[in-house]
Amino acid sequence: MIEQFLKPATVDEAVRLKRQYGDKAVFMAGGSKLNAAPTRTDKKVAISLAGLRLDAVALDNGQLRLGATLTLQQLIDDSRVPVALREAAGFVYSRNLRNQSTLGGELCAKQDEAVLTPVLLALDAELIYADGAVVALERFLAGGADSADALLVALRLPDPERPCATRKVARSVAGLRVLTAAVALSSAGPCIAVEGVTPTPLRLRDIEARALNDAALEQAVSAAVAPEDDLRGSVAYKRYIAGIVVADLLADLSSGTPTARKEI
Amino acid sequence: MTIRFSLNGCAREFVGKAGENVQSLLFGLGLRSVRNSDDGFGFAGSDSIRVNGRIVNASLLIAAQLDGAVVETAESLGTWNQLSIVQQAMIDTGVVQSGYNDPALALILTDLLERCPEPTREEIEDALSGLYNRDGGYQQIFEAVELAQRRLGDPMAATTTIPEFRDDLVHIGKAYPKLDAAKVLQAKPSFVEDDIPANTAIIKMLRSPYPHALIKRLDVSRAEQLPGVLLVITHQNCPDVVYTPAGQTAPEPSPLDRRMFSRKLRHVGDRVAAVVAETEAIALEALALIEVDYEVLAPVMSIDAAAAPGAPVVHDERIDYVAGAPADLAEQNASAAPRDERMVFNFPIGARPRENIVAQVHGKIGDPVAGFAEADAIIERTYASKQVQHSPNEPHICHTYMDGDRLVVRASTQVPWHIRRQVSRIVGMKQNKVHVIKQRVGGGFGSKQDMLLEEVCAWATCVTGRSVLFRYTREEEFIACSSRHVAQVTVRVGAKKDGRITAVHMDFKANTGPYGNHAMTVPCNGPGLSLPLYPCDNVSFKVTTYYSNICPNGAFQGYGAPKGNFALTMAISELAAELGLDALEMIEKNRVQEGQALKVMKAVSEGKVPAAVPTAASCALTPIIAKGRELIEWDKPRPPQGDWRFGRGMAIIMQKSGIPDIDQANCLVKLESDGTFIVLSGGADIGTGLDTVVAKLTAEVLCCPIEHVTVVSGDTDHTLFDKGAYASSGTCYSGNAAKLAAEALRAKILFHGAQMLGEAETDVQLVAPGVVQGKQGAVSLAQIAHRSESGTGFGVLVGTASFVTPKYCFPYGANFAEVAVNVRSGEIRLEKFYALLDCGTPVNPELALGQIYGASMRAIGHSLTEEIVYDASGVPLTRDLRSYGAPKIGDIPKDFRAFMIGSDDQVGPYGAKSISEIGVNGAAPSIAQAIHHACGVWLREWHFTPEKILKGLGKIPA
Repeated sequence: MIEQFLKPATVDEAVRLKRQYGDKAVFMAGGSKLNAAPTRTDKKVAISLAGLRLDAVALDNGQLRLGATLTLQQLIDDSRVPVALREAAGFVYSRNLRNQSTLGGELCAKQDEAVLTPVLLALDAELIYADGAVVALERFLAGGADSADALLVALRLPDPERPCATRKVARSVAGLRVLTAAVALSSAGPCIAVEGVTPTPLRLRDIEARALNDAALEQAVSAAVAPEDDLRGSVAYKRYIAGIVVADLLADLSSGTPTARKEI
Repeated sequence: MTIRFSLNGCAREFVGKAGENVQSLLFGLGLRSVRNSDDGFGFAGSDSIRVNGRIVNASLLIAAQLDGAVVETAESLGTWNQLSIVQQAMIDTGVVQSGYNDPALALILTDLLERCPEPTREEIEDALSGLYNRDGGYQQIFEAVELAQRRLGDPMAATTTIPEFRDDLVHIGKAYPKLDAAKVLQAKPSFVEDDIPANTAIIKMLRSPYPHALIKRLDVSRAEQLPGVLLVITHQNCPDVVYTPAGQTAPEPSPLDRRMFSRKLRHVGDRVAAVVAETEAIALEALALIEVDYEVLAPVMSIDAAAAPGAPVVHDERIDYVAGAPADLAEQNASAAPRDERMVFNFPIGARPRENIVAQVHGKIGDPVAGFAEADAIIERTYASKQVQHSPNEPHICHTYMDGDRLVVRASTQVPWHIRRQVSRIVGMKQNKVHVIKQRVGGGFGSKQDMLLEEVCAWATCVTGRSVLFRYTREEEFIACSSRHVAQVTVRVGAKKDGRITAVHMDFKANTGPYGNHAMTVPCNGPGLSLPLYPCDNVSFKVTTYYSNICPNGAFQGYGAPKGNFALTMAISELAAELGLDALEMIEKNRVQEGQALKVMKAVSEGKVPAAVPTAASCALTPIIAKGRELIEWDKPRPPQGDWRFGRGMAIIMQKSGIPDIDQANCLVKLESDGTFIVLSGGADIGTGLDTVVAKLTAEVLCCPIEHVTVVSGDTDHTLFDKGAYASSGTCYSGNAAKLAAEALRAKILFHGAQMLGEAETDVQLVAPGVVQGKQGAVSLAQIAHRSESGTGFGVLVGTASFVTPKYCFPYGANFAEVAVNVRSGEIRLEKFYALLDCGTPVNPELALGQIYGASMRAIGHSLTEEIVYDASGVPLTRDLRSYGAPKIGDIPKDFRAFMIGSDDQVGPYGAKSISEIGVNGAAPSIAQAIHHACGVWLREWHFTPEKILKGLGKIPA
């Protein structure tokens, strides 16, 4: 149980406190994961991020900076945020949760379900830390910049106008997701990301490079993912539906038609 | 840590632990609206509060996060005991049923209307996305929002969606606020958890991690020595009494096959030891100190595994019979395990425990062999259903304490009288020393018909003398409850070319799990409530129920009817397709007609064969099917759109209104000094509105306003015996008892009124508002009551009555569904769902609609998203609402409508029939039929998933 709740007023103070308490402490933004029964923290000290004013949305030279403590509902309510990211935030089917969960928390928790991550991967999001370090989300997910002491202060979308679409597959609106996928169209070609059917959220770069469409893309994605049999579905189903979803997202984006279905 | 915050407009200060859970904190401060349905998983939203203007889950916050915050709970909504516009709209549209998390709903809707005065459907759904409400199917919430919106402009705006019935009656068939709605909505003390003394001890249960095991060694000494531990109950020190958890009339048809604790563990979650401690934290710490060595046994997890030769035996203890022991009992007992344990059958139900068979029943009418020989086409198919859970918002809970030499049991139960009988026997007290009080029940749906924790709680109080609380976690609801029996139903149907059915055979196999509560009666209702829908002269059936090591099963709304009806409707539909007939035409050709004899019901029963062949005395299926057909545009197919295909399906359904010759209800109505009435009803209102039914019936008979009637119910000290809330008996049995008691009192009132007037009894009548009117004068009820209580009076006037009947009272209905199936992704979208029911005269129309929506949505959830799933070793994986697939508002059909089409029935009070259960019986077959119509795939196993569609379409390997 949290025994000490520290309320720094500045980012520097928060970082200093983390250095001081080390492994005993955890940064807490909304607390929807750290306080939830299945993922409750065993740390004794919480360093609150609530007073750090890290919830701004800012456009800068065509790049979009999203504060780490923006709640998912704030993302949805801000028209400057890319539509696909707003839709992905809505995949968390609980306004109660969305009022509490933060963008940074969704990433740093590295939970099994990461429904925002494919969109952020497809948009080449970068993580900005308190010390000014910038780490590509893809590298972060691969464990390349994982540090519990580092304080994530914002995300940066270098190309927020990039056409992007996302879709979640689940049996019920609030049930366990089978997969989430996102596809974006960059100047270099399609950006394809999935989660739920790979060990961690992943850009499918090999497939992106092959510039496939339709059935060929379906088959390539089906072959590329590595799902497991579980109560969400069989391996065969997950491979099949991953290919379908990615191919449909790309087809919709390429044709310029809005995605007819955000969720399956 | 000192935390200062604003709570409902008042400055508050809390000194305590920074990490204290805010739900516990606020509930402990008396904010009862902040309830707990899911132990901090963030799914249910019963703990919704508004913090700094945003709705969040209290259980996902710690106390320190409240420092400096503005906190609002649902207690802030009303002022001076007056309901807010939103709260009143919820009541007027029938939204409030159990009321357990309706305060949270009211807060969310209030927030919505403040943010968004004219919300769209999408915005309403979005606002409610954080709330799980099992009661009412969500649909009426849209009407409540619309009404609240209108009342913000016009405070006098009225509901427009509640139909009225029976112009000849004053109260019956008219909307009236549910008697307890305001109280539960304002979160006034209503539920068991709302009134727990501070020094109450807590029970926590150590449960088996294995589906099948023996306790080899159990050492609780370290737990017992932990300061704050009062008692540890195990198989070594619990009462040596066998019983059934089933809340049924004695002698129970269910086997007495469980002991409070046993050396043998038969499912993941079975009881190993209960710790009774001063606090929950101490109890949990003590659980970790208990040492257990298990001998792990091979589990049986399915019907086929249980039936296989040489299968592990779930019940290997000695078998005894109270009556009718089989001739080979000694032979059966020769292989009994050498443990000092036994199971008892009150009478034979065809059990063969060593073969894992707990019950077997078979029967026939006519000549099925000849019937099949006569058929032009015969089809035989097997249909299966998975295990699903009731998942009420309020978990099981019980609070016990001693009142002098008497044991008081405050329970959230459907069966207070059965609980008293069972607890008395188990703890060894006479029934006059045990007082069971049914509190408001936060949803039951059958699960609270079984005794799952009351006897442990009672025993803990008996031993320690302490006030004791036992509340299930949500995980315990899944692993230690009584879910729906798993079924495997093989149906053979023969028919002529024109679709006329010539013979039917149903082989109903059920998996009861580790204990046999309702093991015979649930499966018997499979054929019992499906075969009579299609009266046929040549019918045979067989029912076999198996023990296994899945988590326990028991009573569940609908009993066996949803599974039997799914199988039979699907078989008829498949046969219709083979014959080239429209499924609805074939159903119409063979379905039950009003007045028709239901011969098969003489052969299949719940333990007592009817004295005479029951008839469908009242049945409105003709207008129901006509209306449903028109509404869904049955004859106008929808063309495909891209990958989407559209299809329609329908199923007819029936239920009973109590069990003739088995059920009984009693009631007493007394005249108070001022001419008002107090009704002492044994009936158990579990959120369905039974108390309101009883009040309306009393007021109708006694010609008084409903406000002049107060109902006291479900209390074994202060009311008369009633078998409880199950088998859809409430309105018919408890209602009839109230009506008869009121009529008995009316006769006395007229007798004494006539005497006071000096007129002949034949010349007086009781008229509104509570006046005995003679030819020459009138005397009020208050004057009669005053006279009765005077020193020269005739004594307090009381009417009592008991209701039993050999007659059946069947509600009928139909579900019509339209689905869209995406043949590329397998997605199933429920476009339309229309539930049309003949519940006779609906006593509370707005509440009846809520019952229909709620039951329909539970059945839709069971059909499309819900399932208890196990891993290969028999360990359940779905132990929370989310992984289980509990539906939320975004899962309801796009077009969801309920209709009541009455018929004239002579058994129920003023022609009322039951309403609550029948609604779960038709979703699966109507949806499955629609799926086939859309894409050509027959899905023969609940639940229906995109993966199964894709397999059926050959897109992925089967």
